[in-house]
Amino acid sequence: MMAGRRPSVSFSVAVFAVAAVFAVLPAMTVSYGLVWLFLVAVYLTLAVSYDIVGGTMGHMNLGHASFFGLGAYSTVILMNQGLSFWAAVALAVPVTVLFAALISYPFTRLTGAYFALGTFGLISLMNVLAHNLRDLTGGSGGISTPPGDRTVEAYYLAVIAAGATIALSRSIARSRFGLALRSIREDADTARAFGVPVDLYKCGALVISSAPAAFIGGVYAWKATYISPSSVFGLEIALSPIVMTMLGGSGTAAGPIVGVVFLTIAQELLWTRIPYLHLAMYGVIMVIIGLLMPGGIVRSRWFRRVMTRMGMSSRWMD
Amino acid sequence: MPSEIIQLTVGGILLGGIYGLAAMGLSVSFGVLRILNLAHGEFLMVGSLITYALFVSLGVNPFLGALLLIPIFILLGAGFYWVLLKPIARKPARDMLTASVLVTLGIALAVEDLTAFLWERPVTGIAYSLPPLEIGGVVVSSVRVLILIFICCMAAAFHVFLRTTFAGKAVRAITQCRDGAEIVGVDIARIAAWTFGLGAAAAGAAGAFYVTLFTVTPAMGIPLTVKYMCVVVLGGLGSLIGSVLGGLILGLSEAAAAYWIGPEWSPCVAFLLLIVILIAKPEGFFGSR
Amino acid sequence: MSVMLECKSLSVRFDGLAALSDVTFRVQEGDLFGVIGPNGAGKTTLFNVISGTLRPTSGEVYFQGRRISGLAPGRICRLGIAGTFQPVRPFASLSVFENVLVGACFGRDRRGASKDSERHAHEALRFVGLESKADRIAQDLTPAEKKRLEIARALATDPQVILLDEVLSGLTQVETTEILALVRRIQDKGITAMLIEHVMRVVMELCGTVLVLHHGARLAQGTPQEVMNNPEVIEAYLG
Repeated sequence: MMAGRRPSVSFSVAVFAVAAVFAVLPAMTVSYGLVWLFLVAVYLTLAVSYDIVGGTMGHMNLGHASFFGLGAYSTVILMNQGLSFWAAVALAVPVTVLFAALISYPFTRLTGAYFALGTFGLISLMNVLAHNLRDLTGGSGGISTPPGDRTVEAYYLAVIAAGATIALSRSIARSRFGLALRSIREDADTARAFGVPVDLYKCGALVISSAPAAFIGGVYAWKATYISPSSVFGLEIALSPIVMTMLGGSGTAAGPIVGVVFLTIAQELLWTRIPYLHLAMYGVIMVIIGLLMPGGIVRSRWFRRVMTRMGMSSRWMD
Repeated sequence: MPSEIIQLTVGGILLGGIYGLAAMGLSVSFGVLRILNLAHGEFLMVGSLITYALFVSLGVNPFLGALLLIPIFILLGAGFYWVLLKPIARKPARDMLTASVLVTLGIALAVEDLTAFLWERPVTGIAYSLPPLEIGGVVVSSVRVLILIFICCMAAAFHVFLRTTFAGKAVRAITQCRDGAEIVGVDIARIAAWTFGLGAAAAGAAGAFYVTLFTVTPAMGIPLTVKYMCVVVLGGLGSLIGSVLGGLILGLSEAAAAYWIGPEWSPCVAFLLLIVILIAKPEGFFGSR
Repeated sequence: MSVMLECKSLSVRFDGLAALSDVTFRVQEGDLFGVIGPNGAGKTTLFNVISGTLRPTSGEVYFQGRRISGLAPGRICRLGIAGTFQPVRPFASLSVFENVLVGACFGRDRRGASKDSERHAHEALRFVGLESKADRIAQDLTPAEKKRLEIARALATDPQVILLDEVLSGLTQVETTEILALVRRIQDKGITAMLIEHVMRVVMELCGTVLVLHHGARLAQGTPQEVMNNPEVIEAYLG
């Protein structure tokens, strides 16, 4: 599981094939399909970056979308100051990372339920701030970027972000840092007794996971051209990447990806037909995962059997 | 100006009392179950809506409504525990945490969304009033005073229950040492179910008072849960007095923030308090742990 | 022989209850130092103070002449004191190898070669005889294997002092013999060991020096023979 194992040839081929498919897709699909794939990539980025803290380190960060929303708002606000999208997002990411570093100090003192609760409180705080700082955020009415159709560019950016986040998360999992995060997940006190710098690494994990979320937030806002407190700090955007990760299998390489693919397809088939009760459906899915399959799809026996038969390496499922 | 301050204080105390009452239930059930119940605020929200429906359709006054809600919510809470939480209560700590967050937050989302779907307009309080009371030149709404008395009685009853009855002692035993309690023959699942029921009843009754004072919306449940958690952390886990005092602190701080900074900022108060406490004194101000 | 570890009038109080009171002793380099005493005598508390997870209310701990009480546990580990836990606390869902690797990566002195952590972890596993189980998940091990794993994790930090907290409790006769042989080999490597133990026979056979704690205070200290013949010790154990 640790470093030193070179990626196999078949793995490289698979990565290349996936990349090639995503690269030529815009030429072939209609724009509706492209928008959908864009959202899949956004969710992938959020889910995989969430799982660095939620899965590898075992701290449920219910406020992960705070980074997404802050990235989105910063990008839009900076664009409205006359900056280009690139300059805006290049500033929005460090702003969010700095924010993550600042808030990580109190949050490193929290574990378990309190961490989940504190981070959940954080996103409600962001929501209130976005509502109240009207001069900056436009209040509950939201805020717009200069108009324009950026679907294709945003699609490419989101796909690249998703790929980069998966690569980042994998390289963390194989590093000493990842080993330390997993030891913190298992037993922080014992980890501390064996020299793991627990507090520093907890901050580090939170800060690292904030960067992809902030970037994809910026891209999302740029493409949507309009954001509001509920669209970037709302319950749906806060919880759906987490639900997807849990459904797929938190703490595994394949889990967030499987969960995102599974739930976005389900959304496409069901959600779009039923205009209401989306949150309620998320709720029911959460209850079902919690009661029946806490390990997620990836850890279930039938999935392992199917995947092993298809030649998927078991290290994606651990 | 002084009378305004007094009104403000009374309002803050009242709000704090409602927070405290609901948080008390959460504190006790967390002590017994070690489960973070993110659906606790939903009990208050549903309690409010039922009280409202009873008042509008049958003219049941909210105090009677609160009394009616208690047995209903004890059963509701016990059932909730038996069906949804008992299956996950036996898991190892970390799995239990994840599962409990998923299950209770899932329920909270489902309840809120369903309520919003069924109940189109927010409920804007009950037009229930009694002749006002004048104490030392200050006019106070007698409904508010009655609510405060009612809350005090319920808190006292809760306290007496935990101190003197056998079930109450079992609850305290489980809170202190789960394994020890089990060894001496305490049926943890059953006690936990009834405790959860009591916690739900406290929240439901608090809901009955909430609707007489404030606007009720389906989406308020989850933010309220965050507030209760803040109160529980402030007061220290399992401490009833702590919950009441924590509730008062939060209620007064919110009233003060609403008055001096602006009502739109009062939702921030709970979170900021929570962060301050967690940094300064993670075991809470009144709890022994 | 030089003094490896020295505790000077250590006291620990929890809410007025004295878990340790005024305990003073020295551990010589290379010794196998036994700590015995009835339940609640403060043995594990003593270990927690030495390893830094608990701060003494008063008193100091010196390691090779350097004061270590008050340092963070990770720091003390890197200086060269590592231990096992009772009950065992392996990182449950990590593999056996990864458990030991945590010790090798983070528990060793930074100035030592840090590139070879994996080789180091493998060596520790081989030393305790768990090499064939390296890829198993820690929670699937037998109790005796978990004890070995904890010893391996401590050894992977290159300790000069190893704290063994009841490594024999709950084991079968055969397993006990095996772990005892392991403890002797640890001593042969030149590592100073402190051992909390209930089985008197083991302490008498193995240890060079024995410290007896009773109600948190030092009751006696000396060779196993001296301690056994001490009337106060007999009183405490039988009375």
